[in-house]
Amino acid sequence: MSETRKITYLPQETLLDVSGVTLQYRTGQQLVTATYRVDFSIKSSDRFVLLGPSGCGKSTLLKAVGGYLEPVEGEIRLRGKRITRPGPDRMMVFQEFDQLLPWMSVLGNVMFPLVETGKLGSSAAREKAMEYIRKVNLVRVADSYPHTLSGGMKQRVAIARGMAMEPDILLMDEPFAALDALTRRQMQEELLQLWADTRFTVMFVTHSIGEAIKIGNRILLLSPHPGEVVAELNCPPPDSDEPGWQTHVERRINDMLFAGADTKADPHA
Amino acid sequence: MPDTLLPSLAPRPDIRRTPTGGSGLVVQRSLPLGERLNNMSGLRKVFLLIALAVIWEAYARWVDNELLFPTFTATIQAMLTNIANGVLPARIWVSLRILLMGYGVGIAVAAALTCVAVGFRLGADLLEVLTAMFNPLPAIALLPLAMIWFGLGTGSLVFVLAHSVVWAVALNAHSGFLSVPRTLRMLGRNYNLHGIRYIRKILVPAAFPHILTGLKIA
Repeated sequence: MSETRKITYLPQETLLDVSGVTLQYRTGQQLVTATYRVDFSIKSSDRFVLLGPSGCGKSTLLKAVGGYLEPVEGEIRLRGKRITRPGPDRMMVFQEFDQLLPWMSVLGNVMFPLVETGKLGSSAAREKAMEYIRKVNLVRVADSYPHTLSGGMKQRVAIARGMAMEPDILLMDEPFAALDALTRRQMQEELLQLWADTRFTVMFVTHSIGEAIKIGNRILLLSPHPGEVVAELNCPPPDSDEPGWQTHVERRINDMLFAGADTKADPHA
Repeated sequence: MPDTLLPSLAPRPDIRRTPTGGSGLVVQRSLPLGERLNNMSGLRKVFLLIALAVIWEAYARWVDNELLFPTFTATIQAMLTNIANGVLPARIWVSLRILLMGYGVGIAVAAALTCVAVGFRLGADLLEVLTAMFNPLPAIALLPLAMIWFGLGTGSLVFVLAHSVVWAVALNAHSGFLSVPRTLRMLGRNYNLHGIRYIRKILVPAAFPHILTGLKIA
């Protein structure tokens, strides 16, 4: 491989299969249809991005994969098994900074699911947790409490906690949306670096076209109200030889999402 | 009509500088001793206590009536002798024991009530109705009833104490549980935590400040 510089693709198995999923939720007086007959499948080691304007049901779809919401139509299968409730084989990383347990140190937070789900004993969990804390460069603050950390650091802890469980799939719900632009860019780079190290499977929700192109190798575009699949695109690898391909993809996505409407590009892009 | 003059943006040269790290300037230093002492709230409170004791002593000497208004020094002396001969500690212990018993019973009942309230929607409604009914009821008003039910001994006292503890603790714990962020609740379910383990590992620590407030009020 090294002499010819040819990339060998290992076969990817289908991990998550979403077929004909319609999702509805109740808000006090109303019944809202979030997505309508959505189909897609995620293969192992995919960086699968759900992209769409607000109100396209992408977060709801992620919650359904997380098992918090039962589809009214269709089904979601993980490794062939139907998803009916939340479980530690699908670890969630949320957008909110308050997803860390404020009464526990960074180490305690990363250890918590490992110990509580009975996956590891406490000393093995400590070792595993430290391994992932090292991966996200937080060894220095391993004994600090969440309120002393910056937003970016908190999200890194949440990512380390999700990854330490070595779940089948990591579900990330706009994890960088509440960060400032500079930190967000840094976190995107770090996530890609982590992926290059361990090749975990991640499902990533975002409303930023730029972020989707940077993070994803496969992008699912959803239309708003209710969310329906508009397209599923392959995203070239970040070291693509052709210069300016990002701008090209970005324009293409923009055209597809806002066909007909003269909406400006997303400010986060 | 006069022309409006708009400022034009002429290009200016870029400026580049190297930070010196504040050379020569003391970046951080400790405050003078007087200011630091003044910033200690404990010290200020000690000063206030001494001032109050001095006022007490002065007023008692001016009144000069040992029975009606004993002096500060006489009071302290009486306290010290009673502690020395063991009368005061024994009586404190009797009162404390009843207080602790009432507190314990109250907390146990409140814990049971809030667990039910977390588990079932009807349980939450029950807790809300009960608290609304009994919380405003002054404990002293129940004392005659309690004396009929439990007699004149500790039983009725414990009942009255427990009554004043239960509602304060249950109300605060319940509102604490309700204010636990949705993200943390979802997290708990993500880790397969259910029932008592979910309450113990997620809800109680997250609502701890509320619960502590309830315990303090109680």
